[in-house]
Amino acid sequence: MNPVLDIIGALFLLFGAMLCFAASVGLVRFPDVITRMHAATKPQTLGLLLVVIGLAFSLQSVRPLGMLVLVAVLQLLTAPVAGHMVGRTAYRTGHLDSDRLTPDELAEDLAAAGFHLDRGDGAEGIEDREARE
Amino acid sequence: MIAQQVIIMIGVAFLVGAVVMTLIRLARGPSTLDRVVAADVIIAVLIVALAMEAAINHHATSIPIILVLSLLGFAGSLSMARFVADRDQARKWDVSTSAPRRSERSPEGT
Amino acid sequence: MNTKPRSGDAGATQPRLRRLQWRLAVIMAIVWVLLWGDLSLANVASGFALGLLIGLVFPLPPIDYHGRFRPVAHARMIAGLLFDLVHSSVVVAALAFRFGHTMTNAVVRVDLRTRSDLYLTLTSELICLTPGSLVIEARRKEGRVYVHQMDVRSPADIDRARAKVLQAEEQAIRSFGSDDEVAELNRESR
Repeated sequence: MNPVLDIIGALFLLFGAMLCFAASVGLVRFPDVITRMHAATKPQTLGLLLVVIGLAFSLQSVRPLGMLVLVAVLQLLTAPVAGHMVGRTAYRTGHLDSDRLTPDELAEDLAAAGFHLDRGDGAEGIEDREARE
Repeated sequence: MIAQQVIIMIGVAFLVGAVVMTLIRLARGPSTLDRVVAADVIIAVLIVALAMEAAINHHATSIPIILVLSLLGFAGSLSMARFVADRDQARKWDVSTSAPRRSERSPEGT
Repeated sequence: MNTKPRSGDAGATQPRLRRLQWRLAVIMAIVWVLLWGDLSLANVASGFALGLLIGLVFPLPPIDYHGRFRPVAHARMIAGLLFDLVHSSVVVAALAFRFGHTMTNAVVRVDLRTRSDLYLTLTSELICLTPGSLVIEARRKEGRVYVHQMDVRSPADIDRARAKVLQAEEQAIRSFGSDDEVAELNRESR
C-alpha cells in the first residue's frame, strides 16, 4: 500500500465530508424548500464525486474502478432529476416563500392563463388581489 | 498510516456534525418535502462513512452498497415527490383537469 | 410564424415501440460489465441479452434525433459541467455560512431556441448543476423552462441566469446537434 496515495485519498474523502457538512448547514439555515434543495443537491453531488475519487486513490486496484465510475455517472444523471421533481412539487404545492421571490414569471404566466395558485402560507391569492383593485 | 487515520477522523467529526443538523431538519421540517431532502442528505452521509471505512481497511466490499444507496436515494426522493404532488395538488391548484394534462397546457393557450 | 429551427417534433408523444433497441442494449452491456468489474465474453453476452430484454419489456418512447455526436464539443460540455459543479458547490456552501443576509430568489422564464425533447432534457440537467439554479417547470410544447435562481440581488443577476440557460442549450446542441442546427448557432453568434 502506497502511503502517499492513501493520504491523497483521505484528503478527497475529507473534502467530501466537509461538503456534506456544508449541505447540512444550508439545510438548517435556508428559508424554504427549494433553497434547501439547492443546498442539499449541489454540494452532495460534488461530495459524492470527491468520495469516489478518494476511494479510487485509497483502494489502489483496478477491479473496483468500473463500479466507481458507474456510481459517479449515475449520480450525475440522477441528481438533477430528483432535484427537479422535488422543486416542481414544492412550487406546485405552494411550499415556497413567495415574499422572497422577486420576479416570479411562472406565477405571472399562470395568472395570465387564469390559474389560481394558492400559496397556502397566508399570502393573498391572485383572485384576492384582483377583487381589491 | 497515522496521517491517513488522522485525516479520516477529522472527516468523521464533520460527518457527525452533518448528521446532527440534518436530524434537526428531519425532525422539525415543516413539510414532507423538507424531510425528503433531509433523508437524502443522511443517505449521502452514510455513503461517505462507508467509503471512509473502506479506505481505512483497504477493501472493496462496500462499493456495491454505495451504488445501491445512491440509487435508493434517487428513487426514494422521486417517489416521495410524486406522492406529495398527487396528494396536495388537488386541493392547492384550483383547476379541475388531471395532473399530467395540466403541465402540458400552455399559459396563453386557454 | 415559428422562428425556432424545426428540430424534433414536440407534439404528442409517439407510441412506444416494442422492438429490439440495439443502442440501449449496448449501453446496458457496458453498465453490466462495469458492475461485474471484469471484461469477459460471458459478461458482455449476458449484459447484451439483458439489455435487449429490458428494451422489450420496458419500452421507452423514441427520441427524435437527427444530429450526430461531436466528441470535442462534448468534452467541452463535460469540462464546463465539472467547472460549474465545483463553482456552484462553493457558491452555495458559502451562502450557507453567511450570516445576516436575507436572500431573495426569482423564477425566471427562458424560451429555448429549439423544441427538441433531447435538448430540453440535456439543458435542464446542465442547469440543475450550475450555481444556485434549478428547473422547476418545463414545457415541452413551447420549449420553455422556468428556472428558480437563488440569491438574486439585481436585474443583472436575472439576465445572467437567462444567459446561462441559453449557453447550456448551446453546449447541448453543439455536442449532439445536426449540421444545420450548429450552422444556425454560428450564424446567430456572429
